[in-house]
Amino acid sequence: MRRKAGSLVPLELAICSAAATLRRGGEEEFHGYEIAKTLGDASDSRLLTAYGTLYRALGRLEKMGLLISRWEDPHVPARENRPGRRLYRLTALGEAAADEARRAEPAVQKRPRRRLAPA
Amino acid sequence: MNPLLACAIALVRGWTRLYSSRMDPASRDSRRAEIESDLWEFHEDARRRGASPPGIAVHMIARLCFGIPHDLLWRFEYEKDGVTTYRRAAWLTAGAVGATVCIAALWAFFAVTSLVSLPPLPDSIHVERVYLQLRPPPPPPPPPPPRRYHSLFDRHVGPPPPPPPR
Repeated sequence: MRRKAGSLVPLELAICSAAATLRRGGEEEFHGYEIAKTLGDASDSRLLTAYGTLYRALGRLEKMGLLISRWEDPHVPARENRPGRRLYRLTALGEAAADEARRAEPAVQKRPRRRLAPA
Repeated sequence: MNPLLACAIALVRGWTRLYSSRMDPASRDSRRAEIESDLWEFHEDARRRGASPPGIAVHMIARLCFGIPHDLLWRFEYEKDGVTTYRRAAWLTAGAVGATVCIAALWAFFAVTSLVSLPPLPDSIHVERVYLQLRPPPPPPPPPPPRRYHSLFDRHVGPPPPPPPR
């Protein structure tokens, strides 16, 4: 998809909205898988956002100043015996973009997943 | 570990290593670590929810395949930015070298002309003298042949005449 300079594609808007939702829920920072899961829950999709799609979008949002990131303290993953997380945080600019996206597209309805009706 | 799940994890890791190879270490390691973290979080979350290992593997492979175009685009964007940075660095280096050469030329000019007194030359004259002493002296010129003048003022040309008889 070709984009205008400075404009956001739907996935980037969705990431900003999901990050704003997480922030309202008390989570200031989130990692890649967490946002993929939040996006999947929001769209009721069974398949999570692909690795390349998700991390390229996160990188673009960081480059545009809508997100900032840091690697967590290496003692924490060592203690929990897991790989280190890159933690993202929504900036004020990202929050504004999320608000604008929410106002601009109020009519977008969450499409329910098609399920087979019981016989 | 289920062989299909191990294969899926190896595929994701291998692809990430492939498209992030020959990058600067910071970007490369950051992307690899991020994917590794995602793999672990996804696997743990799916295991907690009771998903079957083959199901997790299929999901991982699907996420990998759908993301391949974006992985490639991400790499191409990196290369494009890298070329721009390289050109900028080349121009900066050329400018720095040019400025250094100009400053060095100016310093050399002033040093040669007036600002710095040059040290005395080595005693090349002494060397020349020693060299000349070592050479054998030239042979003396041969004596000039006896000159015989025949003029009006010199009557004794040749052997003296015998005395007149009495």
